Amino acid sequence: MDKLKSIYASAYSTTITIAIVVGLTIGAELSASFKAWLATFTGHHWVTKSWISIIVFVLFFVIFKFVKKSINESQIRTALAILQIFVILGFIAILGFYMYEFF
Amino acid sequence: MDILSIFLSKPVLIGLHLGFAILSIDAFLWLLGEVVANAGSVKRRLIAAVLGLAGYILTWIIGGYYYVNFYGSLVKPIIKAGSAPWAHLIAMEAKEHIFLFVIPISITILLLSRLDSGQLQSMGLRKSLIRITLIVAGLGLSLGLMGFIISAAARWGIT
Repeated sequence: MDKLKSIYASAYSTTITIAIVVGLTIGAELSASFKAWLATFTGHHWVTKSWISIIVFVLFFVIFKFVKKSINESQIRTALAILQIFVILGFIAILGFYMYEFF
Repeated sequence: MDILSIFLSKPVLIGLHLGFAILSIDAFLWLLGEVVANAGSVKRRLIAAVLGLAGYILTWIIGGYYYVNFYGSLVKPIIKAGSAPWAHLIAMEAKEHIFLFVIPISITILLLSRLDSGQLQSMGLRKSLIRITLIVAGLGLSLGLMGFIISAAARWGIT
C-alpha cells in the first residue's frame, strides 16, 4: 500500500534528518573551520544546514520508499517509535549542548 | 515606501514569523482533537495537517530571512552585550537548530493523516499519531517560548 510506504519512508528519513541536524549543529560549534566551511555554500551556516536537512530528507525518503518492496504495520509502528525517541533525544542534545557550552 | 518594503520590514517579518507559527500550533492541536476524538472526517484531518505544515514552512522562510538579514547584525550584539547573553547563546542557538526538526515531522504527520480512523485503529497507528502530533505542537510551543525570551532580552538591552 503506497500510503504505508510513504509513512514508513517519511518516519525513517525524518529520524535520519534529525540525527544529521544534531551532528552538524554540534560539529559546527566544536569546529570553527567546519562552521566556516558550511557558510561558504550559501553565505550562512544555518542556511546551509537548512538546505542539507531538505536534501537529506528527500534523498532518504526516496531511498526508503522505493527500496523497500513491502511494508507491514509493525514496521511502521517501529519506525514511528524510533522517530519519537530521536526527536526527544535531539531536542535534549541540542539544548543540553548549548547549556553545557554556556555554563 | 512600497508594499514590498513594508512586508520586508523587521516588525512585519517578526509578526508573520510568530503568526504562522501560532497557526501551525493551533492546526496541530486541532488535528490532535480530531484524532483523540476518533472523528471520522479524513478531510478535516488533512486540512489541519496541511495548515500545520504550511504554517511551519512559511514561518521557516520568513524567520530565516529575518535571522540572516537582520538578527545577526542588529539584535545579536545587543543581547550578547546585555544582562542575559544566554538568551542568544542558549535560546537562539537551540531554537534555530531544533526548528529544523519540525518540517519533516510535520510531513510525516500529514502522511499519517491520510489514513482514515478505522485504518489508524486497526493498524495500531492512532496512538503514534497522537504522540507525534503532541510532540510537534510541543516543539512549536517551546520554540515560541525561546523566541519570547530572545525578544525580551533584546528589548531590555543592557538594562
